[in-house]
Amino acid sequence: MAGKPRRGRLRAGEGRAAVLQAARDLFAAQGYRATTTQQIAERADISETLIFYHFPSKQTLFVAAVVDPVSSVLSETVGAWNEHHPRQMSFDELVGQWVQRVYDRIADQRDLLRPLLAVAMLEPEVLAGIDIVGSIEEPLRLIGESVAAEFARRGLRQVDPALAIRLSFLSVAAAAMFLPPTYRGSTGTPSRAVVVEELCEIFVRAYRPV
Amino acid sequence: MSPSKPVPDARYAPRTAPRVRRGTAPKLLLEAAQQLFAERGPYATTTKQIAERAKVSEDLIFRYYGSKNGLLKEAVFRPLIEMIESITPRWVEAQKTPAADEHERSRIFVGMLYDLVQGNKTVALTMVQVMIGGTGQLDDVDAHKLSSSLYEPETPWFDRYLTDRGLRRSDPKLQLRIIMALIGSTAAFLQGMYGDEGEVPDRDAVVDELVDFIHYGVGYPRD
Repeated sequence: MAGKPRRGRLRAGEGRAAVLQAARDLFAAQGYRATTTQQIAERADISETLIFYHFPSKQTLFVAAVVDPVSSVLSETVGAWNEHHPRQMSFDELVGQWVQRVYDRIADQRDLLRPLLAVAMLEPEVLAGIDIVGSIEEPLRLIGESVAAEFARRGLRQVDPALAIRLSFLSVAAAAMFLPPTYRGSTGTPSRAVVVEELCEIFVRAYRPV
Repeated sequence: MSPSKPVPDARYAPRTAPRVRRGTAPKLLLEAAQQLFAERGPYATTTKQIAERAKVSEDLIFRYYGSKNGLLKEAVFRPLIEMIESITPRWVEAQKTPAADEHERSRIFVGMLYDLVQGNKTVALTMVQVMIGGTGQLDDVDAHKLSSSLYEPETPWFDRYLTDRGLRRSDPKLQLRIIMALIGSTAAFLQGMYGDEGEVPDRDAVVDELVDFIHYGVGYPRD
């Protein structure tokens, strides 16, 4: 936040965007409960009254800043997946598509995911109090069903499909989310292509039809 | 690396907190730090809050640990690294005994790591907080060096494991990181991915599937 000029009149939408970004930063750093609308106002450099003009409550603001962006990323991923005609691809192509899609989405959206992850771990009860089923669980379920259907159709290794889809999602997401920091400060960080390639190798071998 | 020893207090600086028995302050500070880091994340936790919860003077944090970063190192990273290191001898031991099948053997390692994360959620949560970063109040380079050191003790035997069995050895450091990140995040997040209606498979079923996934993934031949 370098060189903050004195704000004159805000253009439409400018205040709202600043509030959303400030809210994400603070929720990610200190969780839901410890964050106040006053802190968000200070960080966004606008008045608290203006926050309440845009968002009637802290919870509404949390949903708009943290839950909604993740939900739209997930919905897009489902849409793109279905458009890609997975039925016509070879198994290796299918794996490649799935790994790259999830990896890139997560890697691009680390900043959006950070506050949700922080609150999910530090204060899971806060999320339980918000209806996120429709926005987050539903797209996840759809991806799961679509991929599980592909696995079943191709007669892959006998697995519990609900578990397999979650593990494969977790392995890619964990690599995209947690691998880069473990290389910082050391040499030989593998490129995105190398990581994606390694994940594909693991997947193809783990699930290829016998 | 031995735990930083308390420096003898020669000058009897004025106490700002109730007197505690000699030697107990570090223990109280470590416990308070573990709790607060997990509750609020390392970024939002202040040394003042830690001192208040431990009921000792804030000065002692700086005397014993140098900084909040130093305390994070001792309270979170050191125990985690020690726990992971404690798995290694058991793994090496298991490799010596002629096991009926490889699956059983790998279950030991995967299961231990899984249980370790499940049984130490506060430490694991702080670790994730550090990994996903924040507003940069912490020395990021130092924190990330520490997180990379989590994998170092395991790399040599993992490399040997792949080589001895003629498995797919592309980049052992990367392969190990992917595997450990998968086991750790499964222990931490799998339950949350099932929502309300789906029933989570039990621990053994999850560990079994992880072992198969990893085995086949590194090129272990199918039955």
